[in-house]
Amino acid sequence: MKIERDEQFHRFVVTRRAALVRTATLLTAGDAHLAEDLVQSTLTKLYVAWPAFQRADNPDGYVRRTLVNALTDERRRWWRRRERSMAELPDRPAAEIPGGDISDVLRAALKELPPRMRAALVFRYFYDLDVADTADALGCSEGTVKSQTARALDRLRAVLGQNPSLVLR
Amino acid sequence: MTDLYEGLNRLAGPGAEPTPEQVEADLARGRTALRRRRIFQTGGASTFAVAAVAAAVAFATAGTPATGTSPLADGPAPAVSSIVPTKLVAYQGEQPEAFEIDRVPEGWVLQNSDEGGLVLAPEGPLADPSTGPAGAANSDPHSFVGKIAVMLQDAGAPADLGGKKVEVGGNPGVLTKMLDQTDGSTLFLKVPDRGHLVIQVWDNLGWGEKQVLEFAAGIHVNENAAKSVG
Repeated sequence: MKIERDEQFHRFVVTRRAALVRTATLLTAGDAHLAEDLVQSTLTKLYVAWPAFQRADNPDGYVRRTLVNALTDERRRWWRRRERSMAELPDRPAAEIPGGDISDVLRAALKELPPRMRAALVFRYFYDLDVADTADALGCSEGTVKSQTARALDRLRAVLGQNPSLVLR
Repeated sequence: MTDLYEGLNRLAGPGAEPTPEQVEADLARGRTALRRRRIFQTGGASTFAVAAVAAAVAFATAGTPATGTSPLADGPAPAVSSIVPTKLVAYQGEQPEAFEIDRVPEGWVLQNSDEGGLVLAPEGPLADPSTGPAGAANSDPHSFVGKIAVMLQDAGAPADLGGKKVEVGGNPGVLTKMLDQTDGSTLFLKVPDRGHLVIQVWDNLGWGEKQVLEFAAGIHVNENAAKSVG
């Protein structure tokens, strides 16, 4: 059984890790190091709970929940340093992110969102999940998803409003 | 012109395939975590068994169950009722530069401190940051899971969190939980002219309101303390 778990997990990592990194990168507003931490934490949790994951009715939903929980754990660990909103962004050297200026602008705007609001936005508008699946991933009500995504868009509009190269539809 | 989807797509990056080394490392972390989890569960079960036997003996001897003598009686119930509250003892180590500590939980040490705050953790080996059992204290000094974190900041408790109004040394405070915080509690205590002292404790202490407030009363903010910024 142990070998079977390892083989299944190995296949999962090979086929799904890249996508998990992309999702985690968005959930962390482009923080590549934190995204890698999230993916490692998520994969570790999946391995430990592999039988439950294998029995899950909705494996993709299970992975999303695990990833969001890892994000939440990370937030709890760092809640003071990461949660505080600031009047100005800290003076940090810009990371090299594909896409140039647009990515930099969008990353800065996403950073202004609380993590779960950012996650709601990513699941709804990038992965095109419906409200129910997004609520399942976030462990909240559908009404919360609707209000969170609406507020997320409003906040993005406020930040991106002066940038004509990126439109929100 | 870029729309939101395309902007997110570019921000997400190319999604490089994992290297064999990455896959092996993921597998190794998983195996280690599973092993730790099993050891942790075995240890927890043993502890519970001992506690159950002790309770049975106490009941048989006294003839009646113990009543309201727990120091937790006037505080919120801990998440795990079998946890014995860790008592406070005098702090013996060198004082941090920015905060002075009168008392610490017995068996706990100062793990990290700077001008913005300090972190207390159980003495002894801690869990690996990425693979330790859920809820266990983490060896990463920047992780607050399973520990006590103390810091100074401008803002008090966010109004939407709610919580219980308390008082420590004549200063008003709020004992509450942060969003998504399922373990422990957080105390926001107003410090005259300095902002708010924020103290986050974890349930592994078995503490209720009384212990949190006693601990808070022993924390003194000195002139070196700086408010934390994001």
